[in-house]
Amino acid sequence: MHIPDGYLSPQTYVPFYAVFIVMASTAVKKVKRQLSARIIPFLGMAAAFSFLIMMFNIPIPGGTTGHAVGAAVIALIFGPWIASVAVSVAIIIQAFVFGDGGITALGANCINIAFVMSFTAWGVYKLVAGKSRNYARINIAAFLSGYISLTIAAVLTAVELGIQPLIAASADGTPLYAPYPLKIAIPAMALEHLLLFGIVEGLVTLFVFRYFYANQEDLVYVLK
Amino acid sequence: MSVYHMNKMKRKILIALLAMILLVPAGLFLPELFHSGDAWGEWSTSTVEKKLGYVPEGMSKEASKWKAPLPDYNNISTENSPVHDYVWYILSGVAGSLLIAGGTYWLYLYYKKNE
Repeated sequence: MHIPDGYLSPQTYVPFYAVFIVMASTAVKKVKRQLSARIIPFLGMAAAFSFLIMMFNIPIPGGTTGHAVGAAVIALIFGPWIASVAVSVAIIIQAFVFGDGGITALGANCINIAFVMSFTAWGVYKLVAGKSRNYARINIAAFLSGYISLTIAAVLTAVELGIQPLIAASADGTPLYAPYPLKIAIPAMALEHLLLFGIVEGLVTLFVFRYFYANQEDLVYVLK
Repeated sequence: MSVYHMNKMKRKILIALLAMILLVPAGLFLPELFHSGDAWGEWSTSTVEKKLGYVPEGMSKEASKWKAPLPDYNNISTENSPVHDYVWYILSGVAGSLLIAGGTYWLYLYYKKNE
């Protein structure tokens, strides 16, 4: 889901950078209000957790690989703004130090994987569980928040890649950037996340959420 | 929440993160075991050339502009053996975590001073 350099045309990555800068500065303002010296170590741990879990590539036998992101459970425990910042930090390090995800695509990647995913996860949880403390309901909500948010982020990535042949082609119609159209990109990304990677993100979200629910309920953002 | 509980929990999370670092080679080993390739839409230009027969013009211009110090969580100067890959993968996990820890500590000191 980390779009590399050369896949997005400037007419795509420039607007995404603009949106990212606006969203990131809003996030920093929001997070500042929520932060205290006692919470900061958790912010670092959340970013490290996301960074590390993305290293666990999950194979589709004979096919592609993918991974969980951890953004969903961070959003449930610390809120979507903190999750967006923590996961953005992981994505920025991945891009600059490890070449995982492009520098030109950094804005788009942070919007897809950090912001959209975190807010979707939080929204799905609230939609399913609201303020409920019903055991079954919060567990289902936690799983679905991971499952749906990762899939939404993947589909958004597929849309950005799939529109490239439409908006950036040479005179004879040869794609200049990402070559596959929407009708290939969307099914490919949606299916693999619906069938495998989304389930993994859902399970990770469920298990980590349950640990915090059992041990440190008063810390959990969506339960406040 | 009591400070005691919070510190106990932070310690537990740190141990879990350290365990994750040691286990990251699974993220290389499992895809090899199941003969899985790149993530969809994250192919190198040489893979794109194999798939399409050409490299899109814009892609070939922009793809390798940035030279990452540890591209693909690996050290390209060492030989391409699985053992080396696993070691560099763990070291990459350590490097990324240390960068985050350093930034977090700096932020912590800044807040501590202003609280």
